[in-house]
Amino acid sequence: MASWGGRRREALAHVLARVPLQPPWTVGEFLTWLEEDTGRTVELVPWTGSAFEPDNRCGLLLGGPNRYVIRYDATRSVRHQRQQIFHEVGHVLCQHPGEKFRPTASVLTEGLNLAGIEYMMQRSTFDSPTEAEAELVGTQLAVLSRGPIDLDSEGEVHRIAGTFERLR
Amino acid sequence: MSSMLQLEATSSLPAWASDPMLLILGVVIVGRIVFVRERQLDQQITWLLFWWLCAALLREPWLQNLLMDATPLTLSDIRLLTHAAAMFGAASLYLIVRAFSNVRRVRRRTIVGAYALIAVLVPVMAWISAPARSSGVAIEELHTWRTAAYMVIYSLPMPLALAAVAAACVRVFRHGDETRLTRICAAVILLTGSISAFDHLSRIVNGVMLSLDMQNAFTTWRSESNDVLFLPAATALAIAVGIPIIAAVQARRSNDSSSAAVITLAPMWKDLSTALPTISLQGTSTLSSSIEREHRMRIECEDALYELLPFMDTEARGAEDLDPVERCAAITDALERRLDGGMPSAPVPAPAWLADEDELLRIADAWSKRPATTSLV
Repeated sequence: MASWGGRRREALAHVLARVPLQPPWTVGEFLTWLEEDTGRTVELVPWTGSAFEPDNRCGLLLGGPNRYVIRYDATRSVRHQRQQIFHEVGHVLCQHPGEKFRPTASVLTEGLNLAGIEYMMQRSTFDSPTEAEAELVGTQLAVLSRGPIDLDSEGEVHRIAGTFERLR
Repeated sequence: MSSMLQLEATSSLPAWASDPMLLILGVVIVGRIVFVRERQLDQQITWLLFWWLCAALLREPWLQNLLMDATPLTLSDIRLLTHAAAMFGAASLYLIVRAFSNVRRVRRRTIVGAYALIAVLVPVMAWISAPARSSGVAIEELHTWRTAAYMVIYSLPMPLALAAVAAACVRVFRHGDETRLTRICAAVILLTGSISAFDHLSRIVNGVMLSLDMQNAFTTWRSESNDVLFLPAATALAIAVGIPIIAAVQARRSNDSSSAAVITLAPMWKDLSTALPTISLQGTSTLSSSIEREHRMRIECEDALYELLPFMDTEARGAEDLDPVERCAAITDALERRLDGGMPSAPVPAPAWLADEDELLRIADAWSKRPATTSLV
């Protein structure tokens, strides 16, 4: 289980300090920056028909040399959707190595273009250090996120609203 | 020293009116430095208030007398400094617009550039106003191109920046999701911004008219209106942007809405995370911010309830209008069924009630009020 000690906090602060954005941000704004930062495209793809299989309740990160695909459950609350997406972003920011994944047609890849996908990361519990770390980074980012879950949303209005409220 | 210079440069507001407004500006600035300093946007808002406070103080007769006694500065020079402070405020406002328009942090060189531009314009204004200052009259009394040029340089940056702020406030109104507080604050900013824009634009008109040697009721009114158009508007804005200070103090005293939500959620969250430890991230209850604690508790409660959905009665699971007390009973039954090794039904999509944040709070509230005899996990 991940420790919440000072060293971990320091490491997380280091990861978050690398983000050159002003909160609150939208999912779209953050992922646009992530694309620029990593040089890879980032696609958001909600689970489709077979999403209710027990293993598909959370987010999933599929990655390769040129692209990331983040799958999430669009039937959950907007807050939870953001948490799922930013959890996967947490893996990217923390540079966690995924497990090798040879794409085949399955529930996990339903509706996806599998070109260039080489590895995956999927959360089941938080009992591994990488999952706990990604969840903690994801929490910090999701708390500062506003707006709908799409790649085109702009956060200007939310940043103005953030002038009159406490963000975290 | 001319009477017009005195009229233009010195506040005519009585102390009972100006002192409370100056005090509010000062308190909000200090409060924001202490509690609201994380974002560049917030920092630049504090700078804006600071420059406006400087401008307001430099119009106060007691400070002017103090400066004239202690330094070689004349009232004309102090008026130039007042205008310089207001222009540095315009630079802050420009940076505020940059900060909320773009999610990326404003580059340091942009910040330095904005203030450097004003630092260049102030000596230009000093050069333009030199004849007036050496004669001890107001720039408006020169009735030459210098009056118009000075007023354009001084007054143009602020309305340009305010136009962008006003457009953003209109977008806040058109955006359906913002809270009533945000809309009220946006209305205050729109109103005060409009007054400030009118203040500056009318100065330009006044300057041009006076440079053409036109004097009439408008130019007289304009020369007498500096106080009314500036300090009340600045104070209203300070009150609007002072709200996060109250929120921060409330949070420190665990008296904010998130702390209240945490108290409501805690009993259910504790029971669910004890029964289903895999949904819980270690340390949720020790997160330093109440907003983060509320967020984690909501996420983990939603995860646990989602986990329990296949163990719920089909009727209870799908019913959207179930009473929170009945919902708690259905959750408890599902939890017991799961812990007893019961077979789950086929996986199901999340019902709408599970994604409803208000409903989760109502369920958590009902959970904490369950009779003591209700079996727990």
